Amino acid sequence: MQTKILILTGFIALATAGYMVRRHTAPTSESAPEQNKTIVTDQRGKRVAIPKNVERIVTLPMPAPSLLFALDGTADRIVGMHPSSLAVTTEGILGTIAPELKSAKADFVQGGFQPNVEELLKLRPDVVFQWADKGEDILAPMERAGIPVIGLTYGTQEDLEAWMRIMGDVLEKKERAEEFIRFHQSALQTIKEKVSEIPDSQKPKVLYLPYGAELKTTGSGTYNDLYFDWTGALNVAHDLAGWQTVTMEQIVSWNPDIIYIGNFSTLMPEEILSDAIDGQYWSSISAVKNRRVYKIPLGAYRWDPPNQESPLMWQWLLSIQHPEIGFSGTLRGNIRDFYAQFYGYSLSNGEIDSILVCESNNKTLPWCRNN
Amino acid sequence: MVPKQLMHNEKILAFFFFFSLAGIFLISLCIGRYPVPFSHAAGIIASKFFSIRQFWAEEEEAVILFLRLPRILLGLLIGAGLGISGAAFQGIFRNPLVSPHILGVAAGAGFGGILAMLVSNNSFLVMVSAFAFGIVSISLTSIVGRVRKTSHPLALVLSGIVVGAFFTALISLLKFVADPVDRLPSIVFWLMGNLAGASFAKFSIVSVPILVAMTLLVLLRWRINILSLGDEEARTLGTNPEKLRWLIILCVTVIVALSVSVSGIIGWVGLVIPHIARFAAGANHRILLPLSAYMGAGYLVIMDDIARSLTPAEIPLGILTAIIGAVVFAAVLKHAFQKNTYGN
Repeated sequence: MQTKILILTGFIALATAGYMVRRHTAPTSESAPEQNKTIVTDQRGKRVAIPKNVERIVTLPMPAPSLLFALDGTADRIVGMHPSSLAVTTEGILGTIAPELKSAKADFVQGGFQPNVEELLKLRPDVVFQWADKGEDILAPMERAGIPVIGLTYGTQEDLEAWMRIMGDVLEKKERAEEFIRFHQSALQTIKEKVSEIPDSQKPKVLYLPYGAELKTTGSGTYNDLYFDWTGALNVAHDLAGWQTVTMEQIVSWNPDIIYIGNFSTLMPEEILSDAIDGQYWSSISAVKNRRVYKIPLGAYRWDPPNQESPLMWQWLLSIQHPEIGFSGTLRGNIRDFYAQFYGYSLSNGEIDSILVCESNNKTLPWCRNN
Repeated sequence: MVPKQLMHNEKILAFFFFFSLAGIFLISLCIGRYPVPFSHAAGIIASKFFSIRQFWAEEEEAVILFLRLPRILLGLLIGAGLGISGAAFQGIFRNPLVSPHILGVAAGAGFGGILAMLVSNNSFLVMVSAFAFGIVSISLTSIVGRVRKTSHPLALVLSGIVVGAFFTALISLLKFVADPVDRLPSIVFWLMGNLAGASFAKFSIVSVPILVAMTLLVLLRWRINILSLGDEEARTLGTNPEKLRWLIILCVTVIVALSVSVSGIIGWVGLVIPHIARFAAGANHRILLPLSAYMGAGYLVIMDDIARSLTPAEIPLGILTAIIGAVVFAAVLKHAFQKNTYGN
């Protein structure tokens, strides 16, 4: 009886699976190039036909609005974005530089990345940016509704440069996108050269806390792990893969020299320095003893994930990890120049302080002293 | 509701529910965040049957035909499947606390779906993996629940709870290790159950097997009456309770595993709907099964209408079916206790 049941079950499973495979036909509806359309190849490798002169853009990936603004020089074309993008725009300097961005809609999606497509359609988007690596189901319904969807994948510096190239194509700002990419590549090259001479024994051990007191950290395969390596630091979680939750005991045994607190949480260095978090024990850790706990800056976007200001983030890291290494220009000066060159905005000293979170970051650091 | 004396006239009952379902279907096509005037919606639907000159916008047609229609069809199918499965399970296990998820199939299928979501973006792979793990979990349940060459219903339910708990723990493990920025939001949303990813392709893949399984259940509805009397009685009436039970379990497994594969784990429908149907029409499975299917279909489509149109952002369907389901169920239960009509 039991064998019969199992055989019957297997048979039904096979029959159904076979049926499913037969019914499944990959949709090959690649839109033919029409007049007044531009073809943009996204990171799924899909050729997406979008109108020439795109006027209304909706974005779901969180770093997209600030990047589009940087490339376009205006935020007029962004009509909708993820609530988290809107929050960071309001909290940070971007809302001051481009106040028009604050009026973009962010109510068509909650928490995750599954938009309410009908609500999104009301924004009459010419093109939508969406993550390509979080499942087909968050892209396909929009495409079925006839919206051109551009899929972006998350992770490496190459991905970031690909975003810039694709956005440059969409905005018809190719030259500008190339300018950004060149800026990134030359900054990275310079930093790698400066760091290449440093032996591992002189590299500080660093711990990154993206979600504050949650004790999550990022291991190999993440953008954070990459830039710690580029800037001459050893990520204590390098042997772990991807995003991981660790124990307090593990952190004590790693004994990091420097702790970076990410911008996805509201945790501030003071809470770790004063060992104020219940159930955690920070005072024995070298970074806390030496008061080397820093809040990662918040520019036009959070500096911890890949974004257009990443080269400034690398310089910020380098100046903390290896203050002995000279850099062309001061951090404050370079931030000021970057904002002037790419956003056409001249920052006040107070604004630079708030980007660098000087109020919470250790006031003895050189970039917070002269204000 | 329908007057009491009509409840026992099956033809009128079937008629009533068929037309109310058709009504729900048409009204649902006109509900949504994107404003489509009723006349345009009617024109778009009618244009599929008659040749009408287009007087509506392209976007409106896409909204009705490619966003709303697949969702509603899938909602009808899955709601009916879960409703009928719950009624069948409550009958064969002689236990009103049983839901179609009791044998661990939903948890297993959920695990399979998430596993595929972690390694791939392909929604077809997610479906196949969910279905496969649904089958794996029912096989495990059958092996664990087997004592001395028979599967006692209670032993099956208990082993189903064990297998379900096991896969639920594995789901928690996958959620825990999933990348919180990258994968976790999609996984959480999927697990709460939703029809946001509905498409004709998915509907065409799952509809035939689910409809076949539902037809089988409907054909077996007489025998569920016999099984619900107990194995001894069933044997004296010349039925092999063991075989019959497994046939029904397999039908339910196909329905539940395929439902999870396209819409995540939607709770409560399979538990609450059979009870409401029982309050309305009594415990005779001959009527109870089709009635649970009708009510399940209507209920899920209405819940999905709310999920996609109450707020600008999508509300996960499983949350609504549970919140509203609990309130509706409590009200019906209270009413039934007061009238002392439960179960007759």
